Amino acid sequence: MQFAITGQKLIASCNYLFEGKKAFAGNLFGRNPAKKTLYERYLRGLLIKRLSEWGIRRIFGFPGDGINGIMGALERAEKSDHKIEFVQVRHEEMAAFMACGHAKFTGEVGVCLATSGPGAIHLLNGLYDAKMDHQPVVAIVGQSSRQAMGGSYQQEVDLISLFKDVAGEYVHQASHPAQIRHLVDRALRIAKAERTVTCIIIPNDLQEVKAIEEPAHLHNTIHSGVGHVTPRILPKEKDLQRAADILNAGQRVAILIGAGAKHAADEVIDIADTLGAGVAKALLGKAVLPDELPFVTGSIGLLGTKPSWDMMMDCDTLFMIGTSFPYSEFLPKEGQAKCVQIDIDQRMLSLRYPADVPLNGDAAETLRALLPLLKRKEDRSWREKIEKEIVRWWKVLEARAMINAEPLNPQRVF
Amino acid sequence: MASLSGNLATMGPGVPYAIAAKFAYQERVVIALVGDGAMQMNGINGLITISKYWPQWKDPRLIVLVLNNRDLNQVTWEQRIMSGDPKFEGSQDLPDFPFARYAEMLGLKGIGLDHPDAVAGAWETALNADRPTVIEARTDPQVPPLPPHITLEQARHFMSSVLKGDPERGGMIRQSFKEMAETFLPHKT
Repeated sequence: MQFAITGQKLIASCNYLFEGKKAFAGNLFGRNPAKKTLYERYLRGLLIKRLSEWGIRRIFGFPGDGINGIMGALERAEKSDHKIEFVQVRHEEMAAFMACGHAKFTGEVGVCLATSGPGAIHLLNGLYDAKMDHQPVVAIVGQSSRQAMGGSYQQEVDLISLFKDVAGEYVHQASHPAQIRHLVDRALRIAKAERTVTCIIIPNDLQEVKAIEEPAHLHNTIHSGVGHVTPRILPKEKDLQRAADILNAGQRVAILIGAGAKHAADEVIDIADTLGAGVAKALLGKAVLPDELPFVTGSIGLLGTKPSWDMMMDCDTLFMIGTSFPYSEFLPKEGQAKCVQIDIDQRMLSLRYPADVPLNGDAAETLRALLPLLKRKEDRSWREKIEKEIVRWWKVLEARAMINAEPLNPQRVF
Repeated sequence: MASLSGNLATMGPGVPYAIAAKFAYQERVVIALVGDGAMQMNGINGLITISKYWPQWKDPRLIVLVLNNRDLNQVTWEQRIMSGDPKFEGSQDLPDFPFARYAEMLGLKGIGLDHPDAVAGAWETALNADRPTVIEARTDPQVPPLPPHITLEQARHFMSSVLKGDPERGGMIRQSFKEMAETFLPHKT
């Protein structure tokens, strides 16, 4: 949006020119601006530098005058070591979806950028998508100038309250330049550690002030650092043994996998083979194993397969791996089956079906630790029955897709 | 790799996820499967973003398959099966939108698909294209999404939507019967 230039903006514009001249002078004297990073003398530049140090290489967003400072820094950083690619969307919701998609497909933190007021509000649905699918996403949003805040100013929205739910783990608004370093560090670290959405709000005038890259070593100063290391999460030995006892005692084991099994494909195949089990897949687990495997019953739920349904209705042991599949009517009735569940998030354990042994751990690591404790099922009849039903189901699917419809049967297109 | 909006289950992540995937893995082919409702909600604005960036992608192939049945079909079937109501045309009918032609206007490839014999060819063309492609499949809204196990209540609701005068009852009974026949008596092996 266009506004008349205020005094504040005039100062900002002067800063802009000043920065440019300094950079130009740097070039004239043969200094490499990539090394002598002048743009980061301002808070907006330090923001980009710090994000870059965290490994951020791409930001999805849409401009607005609440974040023009940040846009200016992105432009200046293009020729530096801290270059971050900016992907321009049509609507901020798309930027949040893209940040979520980036996190889902790369495992990295996704970052989206929006202006104050309407831009920030547009992000919300995409951010909730990331939060609810446990993806690390950082939203950076602009805010009215500090001197206008509380003045019912144009585009002034209570952004801390707005983001309090979706970014409840960490949402902060900067009010002092010394904060920017630890706000970035914490937003990134908490997004990664909690696999959730965090948010930094930066008033537009603050973007233009001189950066404080290293606060004075005094009372009330924060000294944070860059970097996050994913820990190894494994259940205790005795709990793995309890889980193994249940899985060894079961005669008809049904495995249900979700997004949490993403890096555990080989382990799931080995475990299913050892236990003589079939494997059903919740939607987010669809890409974990190919449907062509003879023991994979495919999707589950209202649009799921009959082999998945039959397996769940007839099993005596349910083994859930990295899934929060919500539709309980497609799972066994309480009491029908003993249950072992693995999840990286303790809060998601024993939530959809009461777990006899809820294991908090990384799926692949936990399955690898569990495998030596399991006995191979000698009786393969349960697995054979499942595989036979799967063969039949593929014929049903093909026959359904071949039914004529007007003009195209949707099942035929895939 | 594949994903969708699992827990929020929102409409509209297909095209933006595909764009994010393409930026992250430019050498791979990315495919988005999207309904006409989601395309009208935000997908077509995503096509504008694709038209802006595809010339800089190492491999320009990104395919958006749109199932265009002019109906918010999943919720239409939920109205019938979960609630026992006939389809409410006021909320469910979608205006027709020329997705393939729109793609062409943006400089992408657009393929209209309205015959079963053309399905394989459409995919082949899209997978060999020198730019992103929108395949617009004209699909039948009366093909029922059959659950794996039909409860008595679901069957009763289906009948109730028919008895209450669903505007598409003729076609949907015919298609449902055919699906059921193929489920219980598949004649192909």
